[in-house]
Amino acid sequence: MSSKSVPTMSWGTAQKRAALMRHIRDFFAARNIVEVETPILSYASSIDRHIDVFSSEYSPFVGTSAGKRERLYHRTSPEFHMKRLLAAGYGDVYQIGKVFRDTELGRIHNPEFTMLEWYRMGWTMEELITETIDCIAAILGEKKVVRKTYAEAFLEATGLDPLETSIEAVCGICASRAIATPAFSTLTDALQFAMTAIVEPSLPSDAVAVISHYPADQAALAVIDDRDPRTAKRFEVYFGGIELANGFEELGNARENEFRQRAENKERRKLGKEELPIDRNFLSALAGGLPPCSGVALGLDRFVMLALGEKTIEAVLTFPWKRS
Amino acid sequence: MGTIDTSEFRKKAKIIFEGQPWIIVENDFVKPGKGQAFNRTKIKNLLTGRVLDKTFKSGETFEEADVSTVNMQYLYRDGANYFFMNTQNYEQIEISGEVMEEASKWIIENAVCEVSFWGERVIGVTPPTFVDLVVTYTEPAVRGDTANNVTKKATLETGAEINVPFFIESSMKLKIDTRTGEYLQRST
Repeated sequence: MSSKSVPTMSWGTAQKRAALMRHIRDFFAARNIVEVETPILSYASSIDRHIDVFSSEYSPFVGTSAGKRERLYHRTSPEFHMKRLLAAGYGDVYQIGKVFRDTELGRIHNPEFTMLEWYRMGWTMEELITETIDCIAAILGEKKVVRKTYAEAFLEATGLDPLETSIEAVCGICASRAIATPAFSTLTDALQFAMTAIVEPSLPSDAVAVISHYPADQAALAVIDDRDPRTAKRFEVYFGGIELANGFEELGNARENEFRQRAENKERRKLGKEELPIDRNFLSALAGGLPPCSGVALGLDRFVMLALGEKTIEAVLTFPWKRS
Repeated sequence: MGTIDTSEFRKKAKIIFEGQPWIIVENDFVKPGKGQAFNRTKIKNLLTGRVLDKTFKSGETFEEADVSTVNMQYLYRDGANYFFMNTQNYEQIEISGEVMEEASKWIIENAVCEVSFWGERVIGVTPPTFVDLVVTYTEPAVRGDTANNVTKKATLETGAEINVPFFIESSMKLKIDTRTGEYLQRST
């Protein structure tokens, strides 16, 4: 038996993980949120400049050159299909399933991982933040909660207002703390770096930290906040400095969605990455009307890892990629 | 030598960075869900020993440092220089005291050391992990000082000074851990 043939998760941990999964499903059942499954393989995927996608091919006739082979993408998130369900009249839904991200491998990264994602019809970002905290408390136990806007968290940790700053200023702050910076091509890249290098390590190690109102350039698919259009109704949740969840008050406007996806494709091109197809089924569903809603995605393996006091994602996976 | 990229960073990987050889001491892959990926590393300069925190963009590539180690026997010292012999082909080389660093504190003639080369250049000497050395001087034990944790200084035949238990006397032979510079036991 080679060392690569054995699982990295012990039998004891596997039983605890299974119990946590039951507990999570109970949490949603008690709130009448319905479990759904959506495709893992799809003609299109989410488009994000920094998320890399796996793909494979569908062949109508194996072993011959007849028929058109079609490219299928492995989902990096179930969001497009889930929003299509909501646009078609479904109510509150959740999904627990595998998602895939190329190039991501490390202590808390595995190229395939389990995501928990759920949506609440008619809810605002604030309401969903409250429920996300409840969900985390149900699994990790009651924890202290720290709430900050992105601007507040950034200002406290660095002394810079992220909504009114420059690449040079961010590099200056890093240099003053002896943090070596790579070259940045955009302010967003510089802000994300400082977020990772300075802000996240400053978050409390024993509390749930919710950071909301991301700069509009990092809105992803969240609506812009009318009260401060420099920010979007996007939030992230951290525990022990580890990024755990990302949520939006959902952008329903089809045109704005298409615009943002094209903008991400443009950034991908600049980075020398392949452009991804725009998801016509998703945009068509939005054009038919997505009711106001909020949704959040949570990295379930990290969640289990934190709940069990483990230090690596491998400890809660049977076979991480290198042993697959 | 080939090139390696950040995905091949692991402990002890050796890279050329700013013209000098460095060894990866720590490596952490950092990637915000929607952000750019980085490798947060601690690297150690193999020439100067300087340790640096350095963040690289994931995907950056580096020339691999051509670092190798050879077992060599210490022969003798001449002024500031130390002479070693390759135990395979009997070739002799001269290594300066600067490159020897701490190693000179622990070796006597015939000790077999690991000598590191960067290309043709000697960049470091690692003494055997355990060495047996004779005490040349230590104060006699003070009567009544019998508690187990009482230590005193002792000078070894190499000139190194270490802490030893009170019962150690001059001309005893001691086993030392060269990684920590600590006394382990009396040599048998």
